[in-house]
Amino acid sequence: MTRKKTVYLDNAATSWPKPGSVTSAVRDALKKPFGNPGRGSHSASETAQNAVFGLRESVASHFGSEADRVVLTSNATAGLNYALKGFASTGGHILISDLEHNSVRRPALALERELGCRVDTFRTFGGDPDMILSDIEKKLRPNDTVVVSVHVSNICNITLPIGAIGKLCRDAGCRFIVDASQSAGHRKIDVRDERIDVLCMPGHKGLYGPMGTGLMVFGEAAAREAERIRTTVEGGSGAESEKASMPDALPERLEAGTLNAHGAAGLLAGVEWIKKTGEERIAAHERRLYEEFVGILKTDKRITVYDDGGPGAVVLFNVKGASPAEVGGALDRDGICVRTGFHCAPTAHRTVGTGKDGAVRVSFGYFNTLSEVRFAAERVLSVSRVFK
Amino acid sequence: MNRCTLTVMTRTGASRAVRVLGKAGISSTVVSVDPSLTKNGCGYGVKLDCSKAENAKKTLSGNGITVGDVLVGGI
Repeated sequence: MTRKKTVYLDNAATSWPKPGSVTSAVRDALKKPFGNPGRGSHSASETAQNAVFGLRESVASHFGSEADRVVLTSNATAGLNYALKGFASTGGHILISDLEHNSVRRPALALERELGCRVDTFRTFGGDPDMILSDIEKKLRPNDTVVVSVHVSNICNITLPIGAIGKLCRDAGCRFIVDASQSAGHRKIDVRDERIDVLCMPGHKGLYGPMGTGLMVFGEAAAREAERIRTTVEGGSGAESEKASMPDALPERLEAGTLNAHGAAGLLAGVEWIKKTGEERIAAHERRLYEEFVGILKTDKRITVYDDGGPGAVVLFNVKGASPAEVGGALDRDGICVRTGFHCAPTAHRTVGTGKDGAVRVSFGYFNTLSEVRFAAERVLSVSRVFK
Repeated sequence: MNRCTLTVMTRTGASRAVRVLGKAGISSTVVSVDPSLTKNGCGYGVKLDCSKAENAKKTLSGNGITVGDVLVGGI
């Protein structure tokens, strides 16, 4: 029996395949003496430290920051937790959007339970920037609110005006955290221009690094007051070992324990690949695939595409008479990998109005081809005919 | 030629200091420092020619890198 070819359309969960340079970088890092970065002055430790520092420099130059304001995490969720729990104060105010992933919603609700924070939600109105800003303005508490906003939704293409939200927050003396899980590597983001205090992202999605990597990129104002950020994880930092608490300075303040230096080597290759390829080119290719796929799906009236009109490349749909899981299962039998259900974002699903079982999500990557997309779309039409 | 070490708090700060100084034409290398030798417990430093220490300190300060002590001689 010949093996089915995998058509991987779940790049919003993690990207695959990775550029060859990423694979080579991880393999090389695993093969050579790679000591514990920042934990010694011997050559093996220095080799790993150079890889880690190279990643910090590359990320900093790409996102408008400095190397010592780039914190390495295990994923975007970890970064969002460190940032939100680091800034939140007892009885303080947290404002999140109605499109947030559980990586924001759950830590916010935990702070409500544990520190008595008040958690409010601002509406996203299908991405209308004026209405979004007006709603945030009404709900902000000057010098108190920590605002957390997704940049691009993980279930649709609604994009939030983070530059304008950043200005609003800065003028009101509020902290602003951005979840760039679906936009890093697809859109140009600059923490200076957009007045972002902390930009959190995974390394393994749009930046094409390995799983187990993530980043927090700090803006200057928040980094200046790093010693006021409450730490959620404490441990070895390779610096100020006699001290009872974590170092005051970034990035070490938020990097307890050994870093994933092998992953960092791969992520550095991924970030360099993004810089070489360019976000605009990547986004344009993915959008072309999106249009082809949606165009085919819309020929079948039994298929509902939750088309938000945004500029991204995520397609959310349902087939009449079939649950999302049944559609996903049928596609998987043809080697097509998609994600079904609520995508860890139940609030966002309610906002979009998908229904009791969620929906099917297809998300394209730079390495997908038009022929793969046509094949997958035709298979969805076949599934629709089966469930008629 | 005397060698001096400008101490900094973290390993990342030391790496960044070497890069910043390199761009300013000052050659330096990262070294570990015994924290007991410093006033504020810094554990890392950048080693360079003592004649460039003052200029280096100013350059680092201008780039947001705080220097703890200036240690003269070998470590």
